[in-house]
Amino acid sequence: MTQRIRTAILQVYQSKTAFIGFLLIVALFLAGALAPILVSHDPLEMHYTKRLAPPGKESLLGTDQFGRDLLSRILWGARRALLISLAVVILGLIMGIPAGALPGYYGGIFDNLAMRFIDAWLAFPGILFFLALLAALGPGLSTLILALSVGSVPSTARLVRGLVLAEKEKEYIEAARAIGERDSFILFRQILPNIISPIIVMATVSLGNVVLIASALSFLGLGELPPAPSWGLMLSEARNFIETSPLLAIIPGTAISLSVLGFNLFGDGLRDLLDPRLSEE
Amino acid sequence: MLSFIVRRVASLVPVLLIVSLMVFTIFRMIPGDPVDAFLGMEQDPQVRSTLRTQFGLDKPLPVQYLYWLNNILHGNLGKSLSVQKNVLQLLSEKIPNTIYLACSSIFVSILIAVPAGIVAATRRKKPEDYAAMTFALLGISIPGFWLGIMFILIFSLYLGWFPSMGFVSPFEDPLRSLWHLALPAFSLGWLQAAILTRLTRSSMLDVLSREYVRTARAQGHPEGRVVFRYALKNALIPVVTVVGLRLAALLGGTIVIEQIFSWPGVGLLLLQGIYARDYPLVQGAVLIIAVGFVLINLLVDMAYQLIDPRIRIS
Amino acid sequence: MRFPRKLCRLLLAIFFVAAFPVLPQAQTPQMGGKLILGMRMDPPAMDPHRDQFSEQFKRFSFLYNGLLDYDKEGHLVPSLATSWKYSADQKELTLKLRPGVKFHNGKELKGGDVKYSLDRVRDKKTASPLIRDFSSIQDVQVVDDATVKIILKEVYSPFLSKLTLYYCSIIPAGTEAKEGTPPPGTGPFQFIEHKMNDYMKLKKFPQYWEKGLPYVDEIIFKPIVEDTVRYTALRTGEIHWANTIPFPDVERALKNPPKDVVVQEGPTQSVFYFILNSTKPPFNNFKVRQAIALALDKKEIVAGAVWGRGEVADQAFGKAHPYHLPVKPQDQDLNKARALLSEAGFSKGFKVTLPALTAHSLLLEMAKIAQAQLKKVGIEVELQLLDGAAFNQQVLVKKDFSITTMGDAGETRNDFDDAYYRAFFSTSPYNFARYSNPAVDGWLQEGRRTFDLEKRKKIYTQVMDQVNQDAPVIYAIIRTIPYAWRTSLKGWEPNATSALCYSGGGFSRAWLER
Repeated sequence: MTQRIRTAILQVYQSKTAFIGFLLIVALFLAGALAPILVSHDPLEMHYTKRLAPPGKESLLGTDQFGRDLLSRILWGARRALLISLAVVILGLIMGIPAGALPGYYGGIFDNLAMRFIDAWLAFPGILFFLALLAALGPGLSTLILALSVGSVPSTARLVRGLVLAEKEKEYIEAARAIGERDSFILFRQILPNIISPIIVMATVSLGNVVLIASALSFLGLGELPPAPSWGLMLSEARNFIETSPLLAIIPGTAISLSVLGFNLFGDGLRDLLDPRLSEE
Repeated sequence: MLSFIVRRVASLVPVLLIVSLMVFTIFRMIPGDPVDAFLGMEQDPQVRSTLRTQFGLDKPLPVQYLYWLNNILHGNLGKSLSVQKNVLQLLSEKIPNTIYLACSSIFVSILIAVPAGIVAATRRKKPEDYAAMTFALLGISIPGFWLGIMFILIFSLYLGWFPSMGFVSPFEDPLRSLWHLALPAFSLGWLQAAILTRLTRSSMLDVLSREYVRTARAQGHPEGRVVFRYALKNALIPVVTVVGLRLAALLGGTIVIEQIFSWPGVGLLLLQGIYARDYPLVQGAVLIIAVGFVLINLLVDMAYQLIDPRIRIS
Repeated sequence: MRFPRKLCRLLLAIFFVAAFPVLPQAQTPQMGGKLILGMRMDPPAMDPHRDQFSEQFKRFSFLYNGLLDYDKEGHLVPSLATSWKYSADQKELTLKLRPGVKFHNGKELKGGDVKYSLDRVRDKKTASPLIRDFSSIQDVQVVDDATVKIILKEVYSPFLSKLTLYYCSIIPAGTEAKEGTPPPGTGPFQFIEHKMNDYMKLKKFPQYWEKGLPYVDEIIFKPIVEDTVRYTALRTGEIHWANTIPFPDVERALKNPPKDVVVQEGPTQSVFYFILNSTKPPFNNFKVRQAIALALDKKEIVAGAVWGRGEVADQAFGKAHPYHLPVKPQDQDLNKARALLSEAGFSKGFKVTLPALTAHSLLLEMAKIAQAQLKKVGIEVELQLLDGAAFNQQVLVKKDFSITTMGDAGETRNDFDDAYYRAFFSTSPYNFARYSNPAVDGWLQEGRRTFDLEKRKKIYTQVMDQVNQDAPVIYAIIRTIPYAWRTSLKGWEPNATSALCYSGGGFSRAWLER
């Protein structure tokens, strides 16, 4: 096992894309973890006399339209972004994998019904769904996480189902069934580990997607609550300042882009690594 | 093939039933009803009760649902509460505009992504590969609404090459229509182009390393034919899947782009309908969109069959 | 009447040219052209008696007239009614109608049309929220084609202000709004078509009763939701006029307008305020309410929420408005605020939820700023974000809130009575603060029976001084609107009620230089 991990780490290091991605993610993680220590200003404190200050000694990146220190808000935003993405993706996987694996494995009417449900779910505009959840449970972080994770279930389920469908036709599965292994054993100890790599790649990329979707929701007014230091909210609030104080938008925009970039690069690199055929070249 | 199509179209019925129930109940769960929205600050109690009756809200919920279903079976989606126009008519005016935008963006994205992906795959690890990948990654990492606003500032205000907003029908004035379409379609398309580029690239890489391709090369077939004849078709399968899967995301992205560019499509209509709690309008729109999705998924699955007849969808 | 007027004008012109030969020639308006106006939103429907959102009001002023109208400074002047007289008991109002006025459908304006319009607004079936403004009407009688008599149930001095186009646009008898098409009107422009979220097209009404007007041939309303995009469209020349440019750009634009663009701030009747629910603890204790009024730094709120584009408000009408009152000012006093809170038993402060409207960025900003300010006296405000319908249901209908922010553009708030009776009379359904003060009730009743302006001003000053003391409502901002338009658009200026077409001005007198 340790040999595999060692080879994996070496391969990550060797794959340029995965490595850069990894670095970005680490940076994001550090920013989030160290936020309370690094920041000197309260990210929520408004100072109207210091509005839209350019970068200077007191505020390294300047202040926003309320006089809040941008650097502090960015760092706290990193924390939130990480938290939300991880929560959404992990929850999404917990719900999505069984939602796809079980119909894919058992097939038949169960599969048909489940797929119709998934189709309906996919066809339903997310906006409506988010609004309803927001209204039913009240706005806030937990509602956002729940809404996004539930929203990711259909596509995860479909992916997993497709993978399970393909995998279950393979010989070793047929063999296991012939021997009389239990279904749960086949599904969880044999099929799943072999299809885990594309799922992991998708999950890594989804991390980035969550950040993007959350910021789009903020733009439409459905996202996180002010005065939260959320990157998406900062970007959305900055849209009337593009010409007068571009930094207000460039900074959270860059933060979002770099994070998403990091997740995507890492996911790419991971896929390159986990696909044995490619590493032959 | 025919039975396949028939079965899938038949599956529309349960899907639509589920969607109709979902939209009916979920929409009404959101606090605030059409009367609350319509009257704004002027919530006179007498007026409220008159409006409630006019809007049909005084009947019990299951009755309202059944009324609506019954109307649908007769091809009538009802009258919009906020716009005072027939819902079907409104949708038939606005949906084509969204389809126009969405299809153009898909077209743009494929036009960019497939060649870029092929270039990146065939010139792996060379500068062209990195250039294509950087372009792709940038497209993925920037939020769509942000891209839209930046494009407007750069290409409309500073360069003056394109209009900043508005819609012209292609039937009215094709050239001006394309001119107004450019920025929104590209904003929407870049994001998808990015995803598709990476996908095409990885898919091509995958396929190019397969046995039968190596065989073809070893047999001396020219590289061009290897790439296009043998590799591309198979590489496109996951691409086609993703295009199908991304439809839901595309609608979400379109809503944002429609708002920024003042593009009169179904996205804006939906947004306004939700805000106004316009039950018939939103319910009708969601239903039609659901139909659209299922049909498109059907087309995607059919495209699979065309690309590789060996694949059979159970 | 035309000939003598023309003669006077001619004589005046000769006098001016002769007396001041160096005076620069005023530009003569050019006829024709297509004016494109950038609006904020697209109105879903257009029924002048039923729909009463800002976006609709703005367009109604192009299509309709009322019996009276407001001029540039905000004074009531004749429009479709040329003169009016109250009876001795002030319960009967007789109005003389302007002759020779045509509707867009060719019909001529008669008394029956006025009766129809007034009756329609009051009809329950129309479900017009403006019913309450006409509850004082007992009957409308058509004396003859040119005279209408309105019989009131009681003496009601604000009544004349209800006869403007926002309350009751005059439409031809028997007409209605149909499927999104507004009924015909008498205004300078007539409706051609409306493609939702795309554009609304109006064209010049050649038989408009103000002869020679309007100058432009067509008006196109283009709804552009994003402020930045609207401002961009103005600068690229895609639109001629923009309603509101982004706040951060205003100061820069006023000093250094972009090429070919004019930026001008216009007064409004928009007022924004906090409402404290006097029936919900701890706001049932007037000391707590006063503490909040003293703790808020209104200057900072104006600086923060509207970027200084407006004034601190302590009443509903701004300094430039004819109805501005000499109310006693109240300055911020944090120490007194803290002392009052201690006296009320809240020395450690308290927590409260503030439902805030997400769609209205100004109100949201106000709430955020207040949140930060109240923290200084130990009050923890939690924002509860709601969209329009949810907010209306919770705050306006169920009145389930402790403190909230509210505001409106004030199109139907033109008289003292509209502003203060509605908000502060104990049984008024619009008294969201559930404020009840018998003395104030008495003054408010007196106010709507008094006709003399100076007397009314004294009465309402008394009301507002008391209200500002009791603080059920804390006024904060009266804003201005930054309009921007191309230099090729001439002849348009904003008016005190932020109407786009008004008596003596507006787009009926705008022209395009080509």
